[in-house]
Amino acid sequence: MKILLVGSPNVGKSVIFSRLTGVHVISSNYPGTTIGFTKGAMKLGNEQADVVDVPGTYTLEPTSEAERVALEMLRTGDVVINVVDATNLERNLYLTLQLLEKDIPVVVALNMWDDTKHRGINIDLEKLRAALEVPVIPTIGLTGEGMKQLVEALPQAKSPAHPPRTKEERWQAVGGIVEEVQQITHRHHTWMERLADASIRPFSGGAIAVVVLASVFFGVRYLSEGIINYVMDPLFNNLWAPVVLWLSDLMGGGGLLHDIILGSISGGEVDFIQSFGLLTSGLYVPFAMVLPYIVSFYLALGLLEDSGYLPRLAVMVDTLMHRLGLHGYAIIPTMLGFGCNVPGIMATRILESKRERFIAATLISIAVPCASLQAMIFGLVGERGGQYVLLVYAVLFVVWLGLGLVLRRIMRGFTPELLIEIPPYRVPAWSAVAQKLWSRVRGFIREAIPIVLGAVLVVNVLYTVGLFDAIADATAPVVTTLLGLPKESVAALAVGFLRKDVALGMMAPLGLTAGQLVVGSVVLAMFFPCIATFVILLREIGISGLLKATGIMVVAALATGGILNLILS
Amino acid sequence: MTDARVVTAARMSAGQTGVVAAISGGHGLIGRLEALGIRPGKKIRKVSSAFMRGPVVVQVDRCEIAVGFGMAQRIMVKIE
Repeated sequence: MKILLVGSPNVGKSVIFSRLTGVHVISSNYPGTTIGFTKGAMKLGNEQADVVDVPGTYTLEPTSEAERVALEMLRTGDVVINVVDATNLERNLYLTLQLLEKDIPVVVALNMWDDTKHRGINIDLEKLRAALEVPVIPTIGLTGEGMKQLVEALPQAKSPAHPPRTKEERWQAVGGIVEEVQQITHRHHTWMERLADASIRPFSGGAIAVVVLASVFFGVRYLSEGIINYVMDPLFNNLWAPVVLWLSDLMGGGGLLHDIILGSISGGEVDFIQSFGLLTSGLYVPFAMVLPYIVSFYLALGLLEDSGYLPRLAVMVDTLMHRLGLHGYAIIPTMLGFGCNVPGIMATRILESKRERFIAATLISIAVPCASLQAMIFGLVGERGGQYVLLVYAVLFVVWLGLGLVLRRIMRGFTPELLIEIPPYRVPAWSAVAQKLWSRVRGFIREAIPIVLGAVLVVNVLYTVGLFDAIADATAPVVTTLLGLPKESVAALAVGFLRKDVALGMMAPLGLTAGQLVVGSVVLAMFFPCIATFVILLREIGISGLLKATGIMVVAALATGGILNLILS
Repeated sequence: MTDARVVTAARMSAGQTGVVAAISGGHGLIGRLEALGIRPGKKIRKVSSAFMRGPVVVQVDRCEIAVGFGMAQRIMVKIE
C-alpha cells in the first residue's frame, strides 16, 4: 500500500511524515522545505505501507514544477492523507475539494489544531466531516497528538467522488463549508503579530534584519569559540596529545608510516594544526576546529528556520536581490549555503526559472563560504586579527554583489517576481530544533570526516612521491606572480577540491603574512567547488551549466586574488 | 459607487483595507494569486510596502502574503 501526504506548502506534512515513519526529514517554518519527495515506511496492522511526503501544492492545476510532480505522484498512490492547516481552512479546503473529485480515498488531517484555540478559531468537526464525507482527524504534528487516530482512520478513507466542479464552483463550495463549520472570535493582537508586522516594514524591518544577522554571525562565533576553548582544545591537548606522543615513541619517532599517521612531531609537543598526520590534524581539524562551527551554525539556522523569520528576510532583501537577477526567496538557499554549499544549491529548486537557479547556484558556489571553511578562516586568519577576517567577508560580499550584477546582465531572460506566503512567527520547539540539529551534525560527521581523513592521507602520499612539487613548479608563475603566494600553496589549492577546511589547514605551516592568508582564504573560497559541490552542481544545473559556472569561477577567483594581492602587498 | 475608490494593491497605504475587485492579468497570474487566497470578493489589508518598488505585503484571511510590485499593480482593490 502506498500512502501519499498531500497538502499546501508549510502545513506540516514533513512533521507528520516523520511521526508516521520515524524517518527524520528536515522541516522548517517556511513554504518549500521539501523539494523532491521523501519516501518512508510504516507498519499498518500487519502490513508494511510506503509513505510519501509529496512537495507542497496549493492546487492540482499544475502551474509550477512542484505541482506537476505532486499531480504525477497522485496517480501512483492508494490513499491520500490530506494535511490541512486548521488555521487557514478556506485556502486549504480548495485543494481538499479537488482531491475529493479524484478517484482516490482521502483522510483529512486537520493539523496545527492547537493553534486554532489561541487564534480564536472554532471549527465544528462533525459538520466538517459531514460536508467532506471523509474522516477528519485533528492533529498536532509537533507533539504527535492525533497520530494514532490518523493511522486508525486510514482504513475508513473514502473517495466520495464528488462531481468535477469548475474553479468558481469550487471556491463557492469552499466558502459555503467555511461559513458553516468555522466561527471566529475577535481577539487582541499578540506581541508576536506586532513583531511580525514590524519585521517587514521598511525601516523597522531593515533594523531587525541587521540585528538578526549580526546576532547570528557573532552568536555563532562566540558559541563556537567557547566549545573550542573549553571543550575541544582541553580534550585534544590534555587527553589525546599524550596518546599521540606515546604512539610516536612506539613508531620510532619518524619514518614514512609515522609521518602519514602522526605527521611531523618534534620537541615532544604535538602541533595539531601543523603536524598533518591522520591521527593529529586529520582528527583535530574536523572535530576541534570545524565541528564546533557546524553545531553552532546549524543551531542558529534551525532557530531561524523554525521561527518563521526567513520569509520575512526574503521580503526585506527582495529589492537588492532583483539587482542580481534573483528575487528575495533566493536568500534561503544562500543562507543554507553558509552551512554547506550542497544543501544550499539543492534548495535553489524553490526558485522558478532555470536562469534564477543558475545565477543562485553559481553565486553560492563562488561567493558563499561553507561553515567548514569559515571555521578555518576564523581559526587561522582570526589569529592575525579580526580585521583580516572581516576583510575576507567583505571581499566575498563584493564579489557576490558584483558577479550577480554581471550575471543578471549577461543571462537572457527576466527575473520573476516574489510571491510567497509569510507564515506566522512561532516559538521554535526545542525538540524539533534539536532533532534537526542532530540530523545535520550526523550528516557532517558521516560524510565529511571520511573525506577529511582521505584528503590528509592523499596529501601525505602525494608529498612523499613528490607530485606536489612537480605541480607547484609547473604552476608557480601564476600563483607566485599573480596571487603573491608561495608556490607550495598550490598543493593547498589543489586539495581544496577535496575539502576546503583541510586545504586552508595546509596553508598554516607555510609562514604566510596576514595579507597572503587573506588572499589564500578568498581564492580558496571562490576557486573551484569542493567535490561534493561539484557533483551537486552537475546534477542541479547540468553539464553545460557546470562548465559555465566553473569558467566564471576560475576567472573570478584569479582576478579577485590578483587584485587583492596588488592592494595588500 | 460614488465614494467607492478602486486602487491597485501597490497604491494602497499601509493599514488600509478593502475588497479585491478584480485581478487584471492572465490565467497564470490569476491562478497563482487565487491559490494564495487573493481573489475577487476577498477582504484585503495592506500590511506594508518597501522602498523602490519592492514587494508589497497584504493580509487575506489572517494570512500574510508578499507580492512583487508588478503583481500588486494588477490587484484592483475597492477601498472601504
